[in-house]
Amino acid sequence: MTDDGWVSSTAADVQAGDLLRLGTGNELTVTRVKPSFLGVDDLICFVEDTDDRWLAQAMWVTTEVEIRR
Amino acid sequence: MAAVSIFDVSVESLDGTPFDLAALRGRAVLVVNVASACGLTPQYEALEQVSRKYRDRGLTVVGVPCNQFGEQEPGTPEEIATFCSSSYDVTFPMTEKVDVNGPRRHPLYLQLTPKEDVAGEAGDVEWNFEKFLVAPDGEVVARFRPTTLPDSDEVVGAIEGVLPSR
Repeated sequence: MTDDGWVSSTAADVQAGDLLRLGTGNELTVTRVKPSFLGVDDLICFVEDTDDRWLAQAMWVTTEVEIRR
Repeated sequence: MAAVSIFDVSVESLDGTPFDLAALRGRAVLVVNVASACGLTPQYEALEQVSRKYRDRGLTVVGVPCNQFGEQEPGTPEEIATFCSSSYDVTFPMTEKVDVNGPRRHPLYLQLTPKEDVAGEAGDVEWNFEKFLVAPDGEVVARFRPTTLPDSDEVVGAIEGVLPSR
């Protein structure tokens, strides 16, 4: 864990409520996790659905990500 | 006055001029949210083929750029237009870039998203290249999720079922 609370993990470990930092540096507050996305077993989609914005990110379950919870 | 069909909705074209959806009343319309950097982006080719095949029989394909899925449509209107014409020779009309889900969902998608897909699910658009088929009277008659190809038997059959009679 880094000093600011970020943990390196894989997309498979991400849960609703996590803050997800993407490779672009952008952050996503995960409100929903959609496994087997678009019918692909190893594809997972994270949705931020808040009063401020709606944004989805799909990635392979093995993708390395940074999360904070 | 609240919109009662997509033909009553105001939206701009990709070039910033008004997009006259009301002028499409009496035609079938296939509305598709698009993105330039998605694994599904090659669907543009089949969309253009469907557009060319059916436009003289009363179908209009409408592309709706959206950056809410993987931030895969980040470009300016000029960049999007250039990509579509140079990569896929797109000739069907495109709207401005809009939100299709969430708190700033465009009124066009307020009309579309209550429609259920074949599995009975309505609500949020799932990803880029989701397709909604609107009949000439404005009724949303079919919804196809992103992996259903524009030239699939399901989509083409539905289109042929709602083309205006000649």
